Amino acid sequence: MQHPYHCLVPITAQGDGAKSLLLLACGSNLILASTMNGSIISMWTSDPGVLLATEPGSGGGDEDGRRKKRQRIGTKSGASPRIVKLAVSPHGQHAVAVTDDKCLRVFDIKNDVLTEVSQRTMPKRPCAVKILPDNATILSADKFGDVYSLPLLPSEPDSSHAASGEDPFPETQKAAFKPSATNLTVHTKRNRKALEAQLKQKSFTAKKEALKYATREVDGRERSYIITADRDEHIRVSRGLPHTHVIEGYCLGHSEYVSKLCLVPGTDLLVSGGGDDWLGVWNWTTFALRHKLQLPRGAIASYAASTSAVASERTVDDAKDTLAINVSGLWTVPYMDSSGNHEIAVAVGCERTPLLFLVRSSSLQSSEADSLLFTKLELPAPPLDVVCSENSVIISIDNRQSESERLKAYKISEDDVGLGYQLRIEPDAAWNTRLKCLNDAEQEQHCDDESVDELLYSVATLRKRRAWSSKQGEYGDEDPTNDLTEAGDDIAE
Amino acid sequence: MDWSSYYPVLVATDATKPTPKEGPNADTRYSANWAPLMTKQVEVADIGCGYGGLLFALSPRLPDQLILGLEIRTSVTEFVQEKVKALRSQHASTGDFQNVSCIRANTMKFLPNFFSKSQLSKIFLCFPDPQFKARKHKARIVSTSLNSEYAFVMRPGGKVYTITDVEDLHYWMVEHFDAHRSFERVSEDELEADECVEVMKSETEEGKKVERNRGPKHVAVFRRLEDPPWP
Ligand SMILES: C[S@@+](CC[C@H](N)C(=O)[O-])C[C@H]1O[C@@H](n2cnc3c(N)ncnc32)[C@H](O)[C@@H]1O
Repeated sequence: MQHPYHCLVPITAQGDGAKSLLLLACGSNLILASTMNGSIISMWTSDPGVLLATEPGSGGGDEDGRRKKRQRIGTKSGASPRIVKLAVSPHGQHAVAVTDDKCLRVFDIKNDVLTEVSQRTMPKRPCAVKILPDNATILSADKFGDVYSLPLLPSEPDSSHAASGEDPFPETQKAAFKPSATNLTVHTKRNRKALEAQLKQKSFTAKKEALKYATREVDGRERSYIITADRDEHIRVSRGLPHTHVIEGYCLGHSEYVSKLCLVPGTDLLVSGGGDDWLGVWNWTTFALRHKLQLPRGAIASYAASTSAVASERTVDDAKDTLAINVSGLWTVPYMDSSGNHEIAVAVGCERTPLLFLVRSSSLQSSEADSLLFTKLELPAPPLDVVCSENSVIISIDNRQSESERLKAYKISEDDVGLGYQLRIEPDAAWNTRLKCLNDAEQEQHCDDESVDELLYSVATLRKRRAWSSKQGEYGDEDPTNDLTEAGDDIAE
Repeated sequence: MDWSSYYPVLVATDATKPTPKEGPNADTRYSANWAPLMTKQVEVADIGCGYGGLLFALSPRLPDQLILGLEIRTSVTEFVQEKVKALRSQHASTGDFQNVSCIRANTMKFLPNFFSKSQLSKIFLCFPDPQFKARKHKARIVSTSLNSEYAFVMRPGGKVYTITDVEDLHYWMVEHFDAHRSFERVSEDELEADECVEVMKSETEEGKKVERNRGPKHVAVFRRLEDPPWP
């Protein structure tokens, strides 16, 4: 089986180390490809059993040790760890991959070769990861609600603390975990590693599913913010480092979980989506909800009905009151307007739905009927990730049930024949040729459909078992630990 | 939030300027989403208020402030609400107990839905469930992240009052508030001058129970500090 590419990240660097590459995750494989001709330049796998011919320069004395470590860690099922999230540093020299064995793995990609330089086991599996503009700090958030900042390149143990006399982030996990994870309760080497890791990390917390790093200028100085979203419907705006303990405000209005956030470049607008059938359009600097953008339910419903694999998650209730929309992707994509200007649209994907909806960023707050604002792109299978290269849009799709290629490229432009808000979406022939190599590549993976489903379609599981609380329109549920108990493994066990 | 049914006498008589019902962002284009304007906002919150002993003791002592108990158990909340009703009608002539009410809420999740930034001057965390097992520690109502939320809804200078008979929990709470940069511990001297401390010790149901069993009462109070200036 060809495994779909489930995460795509562009790597662009200007100036000296100018380059334009594409980083792709494919199950437990990480692939670096050229955007010039689509060729695969370098490959890495978490599978210790696979020797990679395309991994030059990754040998060395260290390799053996690392390999052993991988074997030890492995996942419960014995399968090799799969990549769940990817991020690239702004200067394009490092990449971070989160694997489902709770590891944060840093790669050096300076010489266009994927070299794993570190592997850190986190207390909980990270579900969002980001490299900050300083090219030196990773922000990592897990489903349980902790956001960690940690150095991209770990220094020698403890030297960082010794160096900076005062701990700039006293709000560490030290306090939070001391009673539950003393040396007595931590038995395995793995747990001890996780514990040591968290003791070193400075953290703040936000119950989160999505994580954005935003800046704005106030009185001529740049302020940074961390925006997080969570399964309790809240979007939280906190200060960036070093004052991450200060919450600036909440964007309140969703009544279901929020899984995706998207900042619209050049504006103060934030678009949010998740379990509600509308997208939130917010001014994140004032926390005000500017618009509830109704998603095209009709279009989604007709496709959801025809998809065989419709969510196993659906409860009797959901089935009864028709479909539950789960926004699984929000991306910004470029398009050319009729006078040749570069504009931005927001692309929306819903879980297990073979459609992509586009809305111009300029019409996010439009008073026009929402149904007119979306342009629908029909795809052979559900979209998994979207990435832009120059002015082309590359979409990876879950091709397991279809004959289609895994990656498809499109060009978007304004429709000059007067289709109102509609956009014209055309296949990008040049790019599609380039993608042939990646589309044909056979990536050895032993995995069954079910486990791939689990990897690709996790958003709907955030939908809560709504008890009476929604009925009464109140905030709360009987068991305060409801969401907490399922949130992951325990450090102290 | 629509507080009019919780504090009926505090509904503004000039109710021409309604406020959004659900959070600050309700769509006020529809009148169904309007809530009547209140003359006062809740300033004191008793989180996990149980049967409300503290609420009714604070009511006459803080007559000018709105006091709200938040309780997760429906039946307990209803009990407190009934008691509020009864006390109000008993004291109809004096208008006592109009400043106290109780709402059902899971505060671990929904605190920001009830209070806006800097709204509260006092938060009480009295005899919280100890969640003894390490595995349950994350269900404790004091943690790094919850403390950030408490800080958000509190004004600088406001105080968080904690009391427990469980020593381990006391140290847990002290450790977490001490470590949080939005709070500082209030000195013993100041505690002695603060009548809320005495009330919290003697008027909570748990406080009375501990008294009967001659158990220990560990008190710690923390002040909300000003936010640091932006770098
Ligand atoms: C041990 S009782 C203490 C009651 C009261 N404060 C006293 O001192 O008498 C703890 C109370 O907190 C409530 N509680 C626990 N978790 C809560 C949560 N997440 N939100 C609101 N109330 C909660 C429980 O239902 C219980 O009534």
